[in-house]
Amino acid sequence: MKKNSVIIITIILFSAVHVKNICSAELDKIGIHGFISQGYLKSDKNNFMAETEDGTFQFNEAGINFSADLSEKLHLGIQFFAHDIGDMGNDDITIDWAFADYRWHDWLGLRAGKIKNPVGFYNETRDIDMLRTSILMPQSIYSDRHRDNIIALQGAGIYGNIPLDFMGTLSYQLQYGTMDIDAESGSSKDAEATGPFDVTGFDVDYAYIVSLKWDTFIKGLRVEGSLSKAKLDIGLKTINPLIPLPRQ
Amino acid sequence: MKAKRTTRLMLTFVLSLSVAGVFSAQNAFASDDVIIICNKNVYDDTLSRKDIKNIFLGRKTEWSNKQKIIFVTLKNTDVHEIFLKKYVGKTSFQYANFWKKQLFTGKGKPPKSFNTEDSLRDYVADTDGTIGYISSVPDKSKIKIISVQDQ
Repeated sequence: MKKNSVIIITIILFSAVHVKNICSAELDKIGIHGFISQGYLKSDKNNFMAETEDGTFQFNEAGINFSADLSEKLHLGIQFFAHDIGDMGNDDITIDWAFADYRWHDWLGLRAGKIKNPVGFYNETRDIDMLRTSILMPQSIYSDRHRDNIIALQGAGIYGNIPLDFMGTLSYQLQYGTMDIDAESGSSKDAEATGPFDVTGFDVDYAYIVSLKWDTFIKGLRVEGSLSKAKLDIGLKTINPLIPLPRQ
Repeated sequence: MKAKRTTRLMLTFVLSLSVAGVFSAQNAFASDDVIIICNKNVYDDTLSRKDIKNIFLGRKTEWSNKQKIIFVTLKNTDVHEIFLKKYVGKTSFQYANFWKKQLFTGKGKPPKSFNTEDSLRDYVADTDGTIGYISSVPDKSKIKIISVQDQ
């Protein structure tokens, strides 16, 4: 039974048409920007991501962000986000990102808060339809099922741009912190499908991401690499007390 | 075996020629159809092409005297396309997408953009630290023209 929210009702008004909309406003010193999209999924055989054999509108995203420059170097912002794809997301409103950004020099800036993870080219923008290169991202790299494990972390980060003379420009981002993975996430559902388990929660010890982007001297060519790691415990509760837990 | 080696040598030679051709063609491109302008109080008088690219992609944020750079653009016009193609290496669609990405990840803010060259020029003349571009030579008593080094 899906949760209802104001956002779902608004999105139903756009049903049967894939609509992208950006609105923006500048209220004095606060910038406000948003996006909304609604899609429709239908497969001729087999369900994919959702009940697609019957056709489904469980495929939408909406977000709104507020940002302000507190000084020439200090910037603050927050984005609220809701999405639905099959049994994931369910249009629950979450904080997509919220952080303070101090740009000390071109080659070194500091961030603190909830920050999206720069994995590959598109992890940071995978949730925004107008910025996706295809309707669904390639699932081998940007798995929607495991989105919650990689999408963002809470902590601190450094970033910067370093010109490399004739070789182009190098950009880097390093982030370290912890993650909030929802007990209803895609990974939870996968874990629950392996046996009589209910996932009670995730406890993340630490998570980090290192990303390097090289804008090369060849026009139109950029190269990016990222490395990420997380250490976490999954809480599992058996839901059938007559079946013993498998021993490791 | 000898014929294969000759073919390989020829291919390498042809490839190097074509790459050299591409590079020299880029350098031979005329650079007077878009003029880079800045506020009269800006410290620098010259910029490299790479500096301009980095400024308009938000990577270079300070002039040499540490004053903040404010960069401004024209809304979709021919001049905007010419500028982007020459200095930034993106189409206006790609450039707009680049800034949407920065905006919706919280990692940057798109530049102010103007409908007309006159309004852009007036803004650059009135606002410290600004840089922009126009198609015709402006009144040099009110605006500084940046000379671009080919690098």
